[in-house]
Amino acid sequence: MNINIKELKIYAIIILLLVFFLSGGYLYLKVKVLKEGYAFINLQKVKLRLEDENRKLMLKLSFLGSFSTVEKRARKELGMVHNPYATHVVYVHSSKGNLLAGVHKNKKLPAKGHNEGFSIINRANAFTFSNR
Amino acid sequence: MRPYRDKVFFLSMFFMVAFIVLGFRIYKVMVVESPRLRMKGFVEHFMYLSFLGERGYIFDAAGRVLAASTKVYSIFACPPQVRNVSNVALKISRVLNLPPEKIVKRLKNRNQFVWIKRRVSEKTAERVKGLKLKGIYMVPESRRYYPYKTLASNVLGFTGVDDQGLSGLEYEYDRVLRGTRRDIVLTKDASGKEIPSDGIVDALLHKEGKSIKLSIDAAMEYKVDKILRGAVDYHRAKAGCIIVVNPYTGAVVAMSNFPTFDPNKFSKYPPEDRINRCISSVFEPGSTFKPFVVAAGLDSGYINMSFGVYCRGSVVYRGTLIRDWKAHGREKLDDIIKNSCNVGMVKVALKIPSDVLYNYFLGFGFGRPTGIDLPGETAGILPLPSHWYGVGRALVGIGQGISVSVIQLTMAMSAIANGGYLVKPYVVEGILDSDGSLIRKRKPKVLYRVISASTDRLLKRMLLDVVNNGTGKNARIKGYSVAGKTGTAQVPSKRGGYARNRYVSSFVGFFPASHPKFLVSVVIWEPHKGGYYGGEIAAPVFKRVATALIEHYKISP
Repeated sequence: MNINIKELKIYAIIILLLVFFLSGGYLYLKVKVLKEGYAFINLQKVKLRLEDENRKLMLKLSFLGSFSTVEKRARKELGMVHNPYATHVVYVHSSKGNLLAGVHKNKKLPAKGHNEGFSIINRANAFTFSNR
Repeated sequence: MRPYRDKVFFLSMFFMVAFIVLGFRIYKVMVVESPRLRMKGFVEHFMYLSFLGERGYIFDAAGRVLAASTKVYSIFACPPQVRNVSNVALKISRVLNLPPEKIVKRLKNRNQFVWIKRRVSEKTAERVKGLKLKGIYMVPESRRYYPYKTLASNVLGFTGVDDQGLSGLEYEYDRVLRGTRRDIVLTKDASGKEIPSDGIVDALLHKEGKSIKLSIDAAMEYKVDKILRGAVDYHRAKAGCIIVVNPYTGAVVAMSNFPTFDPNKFSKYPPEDRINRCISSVFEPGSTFKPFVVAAGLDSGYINMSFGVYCRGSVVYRGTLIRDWKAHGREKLDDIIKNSCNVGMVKVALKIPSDVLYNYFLGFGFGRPTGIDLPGETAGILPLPSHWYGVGRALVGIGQGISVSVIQLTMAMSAIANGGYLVKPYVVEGILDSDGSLIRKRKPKVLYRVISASTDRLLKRMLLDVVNNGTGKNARIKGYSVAGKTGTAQVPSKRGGYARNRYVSSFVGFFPASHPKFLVSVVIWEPHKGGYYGGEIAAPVFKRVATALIEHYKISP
């Protein structure tokens, strides 16, 4: 058997280099995965915290926007009161297909307790019928 | 030779003592101190994390948040680990606002686990954490809030301290709303941070509970609640209910109860305020039941529109005098309904065989639950025809001797409003995923046809006449066609028979009569001021609700 020492040395160096780079690469990937894992966990925690915060803000908004709160503030801070005259709107479709609104007004004051529930009604687009 | 032997002796003695000492140490470490050291090692290398998937939201039809959960903390202790109990109790009591002696009592408990205080805010939990007390721990929990307070509270229900649904929709949809809780143990690295693993990734992606979207419109519900409260207060009534439904789909737009309660502090209210009277309470419907008797007669052919009676103000049947509210004289079938004539209705009922009547009542949904997606629905009381003893058969004709729930009455009248079909009512329109996407949408369920289209047309005409010219005049709305029926029923007495001066006033109506958009049922229990007839008490309430609906949904006549 004719063993060429020089060739053997070259092979050995190549194998060593290969092992070195492969293990280096493996280690690098492992560290990278671990690093990314930490980053992922941190981001997920931030996400959870933000979701929690969002939930709290949504709840706060709902409490502030609830009808009873709005009505209470409208009465206390803006001095708004119930309309003592019970009215109702009649909606009719015009020839052009637009929705028109007219108000029927009661001239006499309704009995106490009969005008509840008409506190927050937008009558901005309503007009009064001439035949009331 | 001797010094050598001595040396060997001393050396062996030394090793023997050393081994004995070592043996004792090993025994101490391995046996005596094993649990403590194992725990210490565990604490140093592992960490316990709890991830709580929040309970889902409850939204109204317009997407308003009616119920939501947020994270709170519950403080607990492991009493054997707590040293200097009185000092720890004093420190915690200042933060948690609890009497120290109460905490001392809990910390002296022999159990491994005791709650100190449940559901404290994040801020308070942080303050407790800052005290760094040994043996005191905290766990995240969820707390349910209802921003609209009393609004639809009898429908929404409430949750218990462990976040489980206890009543209403919270109970019915508990499995849908409930989030998943994940408790995991993770390995820590040298810096004390958790090492990424599949477990933590899985836990962080935990599932929140699904949300539900209701058919109830909170804006309308608020108006209906106010109207009902005003009416119950004004008439000094015992209680009241209003249901607003779409008669074609069975979608409940508003379901109002009074008295009611605030689910944020439900324990402060008596149990009777927490029940949903619309589905759980029964009452004798009285005259609101008459259209169904007439429907049975017309549809089965036992009576027709030419049927007539002469009302003298009372009638005697099997020895019992049945009074009317006045003598109506000669009447035809439509007059009987218009004037809500008891004498006429007794004669109508007696014309129809009992089993035919009974089958039609069953067909309209009486005597069994409607199947609404709410817990605690009553089936009402519809006795078998064989139990309509004596005057019973005649009384059925005027809506006495049987008991119905408000939802049963509502759905039965819906069958007349929608052309003759019984539909299944519902309050939950869809189920949403935790990201807000709709995953299940409710399809309205038409159960079957109860009466023919021709019978339905006749009934609608009669009910329109009730409002235009009959007992339901107070429900009339200028510019709109309203159909409906008034009802005034006596309340059964505990001593048998009917109680004096105790009535249930009701009105069930729909509008516009030709193509109804909404059907409204109003029931007021035991009014004590301003009369007691359905036409006086319930019909004006119907009018106010209908007017509010017209304005809210811009309904044209």
